[in-house]
Amino acid sequence: MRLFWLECKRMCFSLAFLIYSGLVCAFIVLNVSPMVNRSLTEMPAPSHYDVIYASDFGTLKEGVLEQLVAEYKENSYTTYSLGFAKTNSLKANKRALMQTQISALKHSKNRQTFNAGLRRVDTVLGGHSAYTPANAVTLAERPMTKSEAKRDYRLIVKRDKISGTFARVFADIASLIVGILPTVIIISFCYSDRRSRALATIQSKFVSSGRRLFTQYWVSLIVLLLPVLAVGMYFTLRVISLYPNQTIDLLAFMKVTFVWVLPTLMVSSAVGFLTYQLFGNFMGFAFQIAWWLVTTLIGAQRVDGNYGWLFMPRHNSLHNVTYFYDHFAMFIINRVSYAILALAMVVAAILVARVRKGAYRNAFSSHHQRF
Amino acid sequence: MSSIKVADITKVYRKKPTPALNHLTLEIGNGMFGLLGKNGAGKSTLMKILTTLEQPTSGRAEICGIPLTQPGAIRNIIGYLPQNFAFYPNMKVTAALSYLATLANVPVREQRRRIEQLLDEVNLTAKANVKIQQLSGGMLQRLGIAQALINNPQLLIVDEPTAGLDPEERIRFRNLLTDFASSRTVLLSTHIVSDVEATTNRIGILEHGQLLFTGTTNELIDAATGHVFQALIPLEAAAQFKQTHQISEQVAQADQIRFRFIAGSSTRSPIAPTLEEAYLFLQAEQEGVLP
Amino acid sequence: MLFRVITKDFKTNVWSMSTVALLLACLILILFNLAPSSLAQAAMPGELFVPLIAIICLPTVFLPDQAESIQAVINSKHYRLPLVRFLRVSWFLLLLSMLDAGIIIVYGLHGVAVPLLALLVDFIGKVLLLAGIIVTIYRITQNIVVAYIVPVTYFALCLGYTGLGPFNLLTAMHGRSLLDCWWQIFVALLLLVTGLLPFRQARTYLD
Repeated sequence: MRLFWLECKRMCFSLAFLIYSGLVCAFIVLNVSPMVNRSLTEMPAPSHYDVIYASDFGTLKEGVLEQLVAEYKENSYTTYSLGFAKTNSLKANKRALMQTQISALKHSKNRQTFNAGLRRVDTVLGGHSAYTPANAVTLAERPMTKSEAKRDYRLIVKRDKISGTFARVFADIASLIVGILPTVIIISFCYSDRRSRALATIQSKFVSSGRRLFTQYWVSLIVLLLPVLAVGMYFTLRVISLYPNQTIDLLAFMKVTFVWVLPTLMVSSAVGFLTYQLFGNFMGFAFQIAWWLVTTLIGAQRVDGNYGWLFMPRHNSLHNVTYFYDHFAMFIINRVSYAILALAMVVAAILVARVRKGAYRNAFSSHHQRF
Repeated sequence: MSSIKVADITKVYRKKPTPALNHLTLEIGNGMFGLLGKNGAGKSTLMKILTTLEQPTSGRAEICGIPLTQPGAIRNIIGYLPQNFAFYPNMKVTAALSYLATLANVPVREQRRRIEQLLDEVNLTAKANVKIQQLSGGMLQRLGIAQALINNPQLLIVDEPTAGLDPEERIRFRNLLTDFASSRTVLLSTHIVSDVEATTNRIGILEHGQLLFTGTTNELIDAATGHVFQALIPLEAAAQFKQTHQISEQVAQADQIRFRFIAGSSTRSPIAPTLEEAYLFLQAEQEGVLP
Repeated sequence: MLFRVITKDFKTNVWSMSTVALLLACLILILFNLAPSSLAQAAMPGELFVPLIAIICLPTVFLPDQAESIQAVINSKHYRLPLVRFLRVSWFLLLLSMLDAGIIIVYGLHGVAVPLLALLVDFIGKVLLLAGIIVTIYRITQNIVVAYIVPVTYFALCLGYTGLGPFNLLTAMHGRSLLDCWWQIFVALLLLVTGLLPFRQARTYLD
């Protein structure tokens, strides 16, 4: 326990942590405040109903064909390899193939044949297009109907209790920043042990490197989550002051911090520990930046509700609440999976550290001597 | 002409209540000069000021007639071996010297000859193509000396150069310094008295940023003459004896311990002090803790 | 003489990160369309990807000399650490500018209908601005972690926050005028001077 508090103190009283806290707070407040200022207690006017993605076959088919025919006429198709938008043109033979596929889609009578046709279109384009069963829904936007808007409003007031709606946006933004900054903070802490030549001294002590690393990991999670918790408390108070006569979920921001943001933080911290053990320098940061950027760009294609296997699930909208509750199970599986992945990376980091110290080599050679 | 003239220099660090250097005045001529002092006495601070790495809060200094207000000119004529010398671990020895020679503005056509000569003088020729991270502590220090001499400086400043070296390496290093001092000024800053004893007879002693003593080793020893004593104490009385005396040496001999101790006066006959005892005597007298 | 400083420093301290930058640059060929049909698309490699390479590379300029003893050794020489760092930063600025120029040349060869020179200035402006931020932040804090996290946070803000005005890195991608890059270049030059110029330490001689 003493080791835990000592590591906490070491991290908390560092300049890097202070600057990190400032940046995290500023980033979240700047991005979330405009959303928090919007009123949720009244139903919006019909002309201001949010746009959602239609799930009915008719609207989906119409939206997809409208986009596909337009791109076919221009011979300019957009694909999203690793989230990066790229426009491509098709050669004559592939254009002819595309024309056939468009015709097939037009004649599809049900979702099954339509989805099969979509997959063929995606293959013609070389993959990563919007024309897949999972992505095609982004082409079927339409404004909510009055009943959908009413349902959305009821969910916001009754189930989210207002603060839950804002908390989702807060978690969306917080994940973006804790998905990247902790990695470099962790690498620098590991690096400072080596730079101060403390590593030999530390490793000669009784505490095993595994225990020390694990302790440092838990410390990093708690310490690096503190600014997010602080901003969460700030927004809780803000929502209370903006909606004094409403029933607010006082713990909404805390819940999303631990359930939504923490697994992302676990992963970005774990990447820092593991890549430092592997490379011994800041190279791991390049890896994390790449992962972060790809996730951000993929998520950006559908920010109002996009969980899947993203390491930073997106829900940058005060609406589309039905989507959240309809996909809640998938969201939870996503978060639990990333938490497990993070712990696995930490275990891998401990193993690499021990191998580097020669632990297994020594054990192996003494095993051979005995037998 | 004095190589180094320090006039009333004071250095105050922010958030530190006492100055690191307190109106220090000192003149150092050619040859080797040893600057002794405990850890925290201000030796490294003085070294950094003389090497233009830091500026004094007040006061003046001149290196070979060049004032501190001309740091570029000073850097051209000094060589510096800092405490805990280190360099880029992945660089090879020759590459490191070549790099530092370039930074020291040594003409390109002279660099190769000088590097070969220095590697030979510090006995590192065999390690010329070895990476710095593979050098032992003693080799690293010798590389440090080589880089400090790369620009053929008039003044060589070495800060705690033998800390962490084994006895053999320490002797080798001292001999190197003495050789170099024959043709230039060497300022050796250390808390290890034997390093000074083996290399020079001119010393200064720094304590709490002030100069306690400057002169020769003989003068320091003379000042302590009559204040160092010896006693044979039985084992059972040794602990008590240590509590009431300023011990400079203790050697176990069967069931007795032979103590050498420093005191203002004693009933026992005084013995000839060593330089280390003279140093301890001076410090104890300064602190007013002499029994 | 300076050329020798560059070449000697390059092999030990700069080469590996330069290689990383070039390897990352190769990804541009895969990730982006080098015959884009719009200004926003044409701007993506230079406004989105090359600045990230800059964020990965530039703080490493300060990494080799973190130990005080190494700083002391170099600073006791004729050419000191600020010059060495200036040369390293200049190298990376040159490398990244050449990368930007390469992208523009490819656009030119493909006959892309975008203002090529303006786009090149825009791209180089981003790199200069990030370099200015990194060197100034490091100069103030002497902390390499802060030199990483501040530009990363700035980059993340640029992705979604609309309040940065002409200082949003994604100028053309967000449909803003390319003239914004002149503001960025102006601030960048101020920051680079602040961050790299070796100011004399305050002397308080009482003669």
